[in-house]
Amino acid sequence: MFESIVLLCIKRFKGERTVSGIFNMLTGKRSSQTMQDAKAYQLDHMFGVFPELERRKLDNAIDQMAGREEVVVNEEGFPNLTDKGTDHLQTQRASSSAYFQGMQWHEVLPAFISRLNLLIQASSNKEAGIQSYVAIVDQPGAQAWVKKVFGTFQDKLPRLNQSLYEELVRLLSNHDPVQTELFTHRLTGGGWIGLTVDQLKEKYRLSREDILLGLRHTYYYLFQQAKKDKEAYPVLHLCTRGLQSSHLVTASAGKTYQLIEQGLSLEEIVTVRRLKKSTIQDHIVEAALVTPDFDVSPFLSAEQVEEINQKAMDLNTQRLKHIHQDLGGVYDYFEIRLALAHGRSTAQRERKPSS
Amino acid sequence: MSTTLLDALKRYFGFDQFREGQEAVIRDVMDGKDVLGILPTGTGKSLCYQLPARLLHGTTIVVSPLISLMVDQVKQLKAAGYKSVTALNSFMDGQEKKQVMQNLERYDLVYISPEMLQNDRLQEELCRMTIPLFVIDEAHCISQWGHEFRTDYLKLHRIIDAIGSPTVLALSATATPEVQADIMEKLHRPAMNRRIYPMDKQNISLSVEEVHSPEEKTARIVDLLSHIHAPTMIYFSSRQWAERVSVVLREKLSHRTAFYHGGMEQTDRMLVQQQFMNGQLDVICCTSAFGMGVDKKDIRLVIHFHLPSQTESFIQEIGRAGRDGKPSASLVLFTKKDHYLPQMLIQSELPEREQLDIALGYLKRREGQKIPEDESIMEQLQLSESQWNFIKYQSEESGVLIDGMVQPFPFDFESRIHALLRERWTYKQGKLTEMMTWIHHTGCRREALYSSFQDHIRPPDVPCCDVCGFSVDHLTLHGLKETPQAGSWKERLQMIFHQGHPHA
Repeated sequence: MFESIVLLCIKRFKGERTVSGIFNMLTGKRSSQTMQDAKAYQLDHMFGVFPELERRKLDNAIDQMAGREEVVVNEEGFPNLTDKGTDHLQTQRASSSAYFQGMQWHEVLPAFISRLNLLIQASSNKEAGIQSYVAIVDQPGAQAWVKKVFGTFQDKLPRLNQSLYEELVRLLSNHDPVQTELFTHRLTGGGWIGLTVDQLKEKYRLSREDILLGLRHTYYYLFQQAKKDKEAYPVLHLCTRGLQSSHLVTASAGKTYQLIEQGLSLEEIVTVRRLKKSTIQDHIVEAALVTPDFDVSPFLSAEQVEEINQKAMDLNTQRLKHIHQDLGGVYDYFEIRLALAHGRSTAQRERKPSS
Repeated sequence: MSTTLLDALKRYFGFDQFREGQEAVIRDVMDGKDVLGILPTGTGKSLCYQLPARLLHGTTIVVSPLISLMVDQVKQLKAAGYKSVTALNSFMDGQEKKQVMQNLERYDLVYISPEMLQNDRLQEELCRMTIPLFVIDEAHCISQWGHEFRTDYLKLHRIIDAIGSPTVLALSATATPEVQADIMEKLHRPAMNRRIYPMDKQNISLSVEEVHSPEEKTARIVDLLSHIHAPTMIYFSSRQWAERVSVVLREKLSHRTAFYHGGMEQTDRMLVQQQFMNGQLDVICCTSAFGMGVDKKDIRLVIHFHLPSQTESFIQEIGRAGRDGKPSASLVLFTKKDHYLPQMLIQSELPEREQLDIALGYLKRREGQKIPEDESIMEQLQLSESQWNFIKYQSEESGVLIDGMVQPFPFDFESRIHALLRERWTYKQGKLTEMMTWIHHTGCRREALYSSFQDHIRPPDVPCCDVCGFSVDHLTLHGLKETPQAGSWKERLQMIFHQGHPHA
């Protein structure tokens, strides 16, 4: 799974991004560059799905792929897929990572994981009559949440426990079988202590990376199914309550965006915020990427946006340098990035209803 | 008095009677007497302040050197229904820390790391509170001659005086008479009531075996465990060895085996501990990071694959066996080359002469300036934390470092700190030699191990030691509870949600 995700990133990046670009994508680095890349190369679902990833593991994986001639790394250090790599990627079951929605949910997923793990432990222990145990989750937020749930349900707790069990069985019956094994053996509750990553590694003969990704993917799956269907999965839905998808504008970009909405020009914002012009430009591009109906007219006309996007499509690239040169240097890099960002978020909105 | 104490014990902790030493210490503390309590591991030292904390008006402060130990204790107390307890340490994030600090008075019991205690705001807070009892856990850390010397412990007496001189309780599991005297001196409390209990374990048989190589050690363990099925701990001085041997044991034996060391991720560490406590694991291959705060009663065998660098640590580690009072055993496996490892450990604890000179030169060049953060100095001078601590503490004591500012060196500072370093080296080497001498001792091992801690060695309830005719091969230990294994994911979920706890 880890390998196929790395292959997918390499494929989508089309040899235009370094290994660091992949690393930042999977670990969810909060930078304008990474967030723009996520949109530009259609990798938003992979943004931040592997926060535990170690850089050297990624380097090793790419070295091995290069050794198997699935990937070539060019002199600039940009990896690209070979035909062999493309074939390998096609043989992978897409279903094993189909539920990743990193850009949308990566921020709130940890809270869901903590709540669910602790609720399972607390509820099943109560059912088993175990009163004294060490909580598997330390986060005060999750502990307070479970306490509240217990307070609300009180004598209906046995029913909550039963429903939680049935909901999990139903959802897991339709999930990737290996990931389901990992998930259930990792759980603690009812007098059973979950397995460590090392124990899972040995039991299922998988790499640490595949285990962590498999577990995380299962939580993404449970989260989204439960979020969607309150009737079918009432208890799991409860675990998702109040966890909202993020618009992912960094706090600083958010401030810049407010000033734009108030009608300040780029230069005025630079003065007011005492930041570098390039930083403010980053913020504007970031806002254009994630804000529906972002108004680019202070910076570019509709025709200009169209021209730049058309050029990117003709050249089949996201590399600013190529687009800049091919358009005869008329537009600066900021304008090109903004046009691409805007074009994409518009295109995505238009695509959505049909998909 | 004792009936009410017994009632309280029953009510708050569910026990029907005190273990040896507990009641005497608690009674002293409740009467407002300062106490030095030396109670061997596994006798419930912490109850000596946990019970008074419930009964006394105000907030009891416990200084504890190990954050993991603190966190474990708080968790266990909370699990047992003791809610008004918390821990303050430097690993908490700002928000959490602030919240706990603002509400300190609401707690009966607050664990604090010695570093945290240096915080001015916290000290102000403590001055305003009612503190009936100030506890120093692992009090041997206060002594340079103790096996885990911590410089922050030396500043404790000032804090105790600053917060209104509450009753002081100093606790340790291993302290020689020399260390005991040092604890009282450093705390400026010469008249503490001494409650010293024997640390020789009457239910543990001791044995030492020499082999020729680490591989032979592993083979010996495989051979031994193939007829011993009981909860077992194996101590290593390195993480790599703990992992390596656990892999071999898993291959060759049916025992459920895992490794544990400080380099593991937090969740997995907790899971391994809990699995062992819960009877889901039979054998733990661990470093000394394991064990603190693990209160498993039925450990039958403690094997030392590597030796610690002093007998105090060794006594504590074998003391994890047989807390239920039933027959248990200790086995040390050693090769002729084995003194190298503890030797290296000592080297990482103390600076070399050349390192000290470099560090002193570094300080001298910064006379009149503020020195950088500890981490950055350790990085620049290539010193371990305890090496830098030694230099920093000695500089502070001599007035060379005041609030992080370098002062002019007194004329004899350099020669004095060199002399101190030599003294510490000699001392640590001496401790190591003592441990090694014990290995090669030809008389009764029990006598030799405990004689520096107590005058009279009690006769054991089990075979004494290999010199007195005991061999681990004679052991027949069957203490394993077989726990059913979950096959498929559905069975696993059923077990979690439906079947309940097999031992409950």
